Amino acid sequence: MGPKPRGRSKSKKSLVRRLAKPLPSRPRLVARRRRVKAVASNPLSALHAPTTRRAAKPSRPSIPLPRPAETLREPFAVPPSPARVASGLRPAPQRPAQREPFVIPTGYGDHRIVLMVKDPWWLYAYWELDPSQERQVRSRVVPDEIGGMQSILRVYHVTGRRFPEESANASFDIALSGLANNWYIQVDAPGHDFVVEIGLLTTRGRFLLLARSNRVTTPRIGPSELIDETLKAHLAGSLSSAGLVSTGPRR
Amino acid sequence: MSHDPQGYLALVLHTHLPFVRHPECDEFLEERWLFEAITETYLPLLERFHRLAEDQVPFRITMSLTPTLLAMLSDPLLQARYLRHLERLVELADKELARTKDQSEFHALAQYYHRRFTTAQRQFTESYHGNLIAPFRELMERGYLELITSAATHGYLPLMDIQPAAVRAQLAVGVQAFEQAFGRRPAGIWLPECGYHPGHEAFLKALGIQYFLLDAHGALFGSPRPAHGVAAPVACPNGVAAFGRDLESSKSVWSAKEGYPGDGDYRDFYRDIGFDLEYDYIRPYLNGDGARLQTGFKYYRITGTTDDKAPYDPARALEKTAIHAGNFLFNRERQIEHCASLMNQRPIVVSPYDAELFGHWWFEGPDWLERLIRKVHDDQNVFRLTTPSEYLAREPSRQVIQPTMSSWGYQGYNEVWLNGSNDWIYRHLHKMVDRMVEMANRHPQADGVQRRALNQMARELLLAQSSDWAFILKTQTHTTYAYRRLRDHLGRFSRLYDELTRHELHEPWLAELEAADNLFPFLDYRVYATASSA
Repeated sequence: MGPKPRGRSKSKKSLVRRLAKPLPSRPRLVARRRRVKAVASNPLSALHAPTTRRAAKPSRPSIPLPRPAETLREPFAVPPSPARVASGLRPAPQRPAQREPFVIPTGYGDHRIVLMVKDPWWLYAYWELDPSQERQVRSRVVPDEIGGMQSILRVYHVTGRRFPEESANASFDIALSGLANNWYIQVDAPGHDFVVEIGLLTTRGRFLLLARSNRVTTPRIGPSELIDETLKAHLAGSLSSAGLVSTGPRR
Repeated sequence: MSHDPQGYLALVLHTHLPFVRHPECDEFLEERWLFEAITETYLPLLERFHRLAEDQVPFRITMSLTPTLLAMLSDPLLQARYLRHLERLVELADKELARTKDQSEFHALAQYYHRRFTTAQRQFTESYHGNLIAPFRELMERGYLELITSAATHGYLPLMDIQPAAVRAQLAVGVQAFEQAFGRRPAGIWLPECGYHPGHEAFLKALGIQYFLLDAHGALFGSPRPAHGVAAPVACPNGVAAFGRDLESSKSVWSAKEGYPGDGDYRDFYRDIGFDLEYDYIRPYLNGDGARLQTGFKYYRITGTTDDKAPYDPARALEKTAIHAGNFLFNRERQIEHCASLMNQRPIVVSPYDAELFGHWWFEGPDWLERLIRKVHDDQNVFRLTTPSEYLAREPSRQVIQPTMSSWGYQGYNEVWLNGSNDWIYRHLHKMVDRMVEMANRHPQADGVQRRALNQMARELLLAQSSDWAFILKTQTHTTYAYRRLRDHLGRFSRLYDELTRHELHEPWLAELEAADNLFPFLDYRVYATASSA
């Protein structure tokens, strides 16, 4: 947030809160996600030393929007004022036609999993599975595998690999609770590539793929080990050579 | 200033508000965001810029005026509503003069506010004829301001990366909006929330953009390691330049604890007669629902960490801005001297701030800025003010690095816009983009009502993508409103999609949408087409 001058009056804040309307409940029919501490089972955690975790924290200079209370807005009679702007106050158009209120859908009948980067250490995945496709996959299971079958996310570390044509560098699994449709995934691996699959794991360890995500790259952190040894010479001398220094876009 | 400077300072004011316009209601609480920003930030800044120009102080400031803000500033309905808002403030100022007549300290302040609001009325109507874009444009044409653009609706681009068509459209429409308003192509762009994702420079280059601003770690963690840190711009591999944010100068202005705005002599933001005075007295100046709110009449200074506030003294606060401007100047001189001694080119310190910090949050911010600009000109020879494109022309050499994903949000990455309070929006936003691309590809040459419906779909999509909604859901300030906006735009978009798919377009309803969400009249839905042409 922006600057918070000292001595903010607490009583105002609580007044605002008292006047605030309770929030409408959001149509979210999904199970609450859990933040998975995947560190222990994460074979990648040895790949890097997480000493720089949460490094380089710049302060957030966010846009501080004004903060009056949440309100109901009912028409409030204000005497119309003479319009001083050349174009004037136009009569307010009619309220958009009454239609039944839109309800945000819980899904779109898709069958996919989408992977996003939250920061150098965490990913986020959301998915929607088509029940008929899921039934089809389940039908391939032999009867004695059915018991204890578990929905999982399989997280692949794929830096430098053409996955899935080539195998991943490593992977780990996250067991899902039945109704989850999104998950935060701790990878603790800045500067690496990941793909996630959602599927079913049988008691015999067989993985049945339901959907595969897009590929993402976490941002690298810390100063790069790559240093232009020749840079000083280039900066001092001819500036345009070797593509080290560009003349930039034309002005 | 005959002396050649050792380096440069670029002050960048990011000037953004989300598109909030509700013709269906006579009064709307969130429209006050614009009104307050005009009174407290835009008019005071313009006034000071004009004064500096009159005094022939050669200043250079960079401002990113976002396309949503431009749309609101040029909208006749909001212009008229702003004037009505001002008239009520002046009416309240009259009452305040009477109420405080026996309290000399407060009476002087009531007079002060009366003068401020009547001045705002005069400036808005007589000087600017209701449209603030014109004076910004004029200051640009006279060489004082470098105006740049931003993404169409301030969509947070790193989280759109999986859908290149979405990123491209946000940027392309942002450039178009700028061209419509200012008659030229922008040299640079403010990526919303300073949010950069590797590869987005390709879209910028295709649009003819020379540079963007990057948070410090986006440059510092780039590879190869930037030899000059953020004291010089770098070039992305495709040649588009990136200017890293300077953290030291940023903190001295942003930070409430260590920065200038928390000084005890400055006006207290939170003490406002909207909360302090008797309800019946203030009721006519509240919104329809009668909830108390900030009116803009604030009579106290920050004083200290106490609830026992002392009255505000504008003259004393003004003196403090001179001291703080001097401090900022001194620190930049030392910083630039130090950098220059280590570099073979002249360093640049790039200091971006939200414009609304100046005046809205930090009431004295515009005065501080004016003092600083005068001191840069009068009091020293170490550095000069510049703009990014001026610097690029002066210092043509740039190290090529690949910057890293970054933003200026909390923790420096995507967390503010992707967390448990707002992550649910992405499955819908992504679906909207899929459908928009599908429709643009399916209708390469739509016309008539169909074309209007497709253009309106694009508007609703862009509006839903504003980073502001995710941000508000996170900060829990106007959550109901943010949720409503997401639902409304998603709902309008989905119905248009269904009607188009079933060939059952309902024209009167479409016309209502066009009248309500009326920004970007130039918008062409084919910006989302991915099929044949690009």
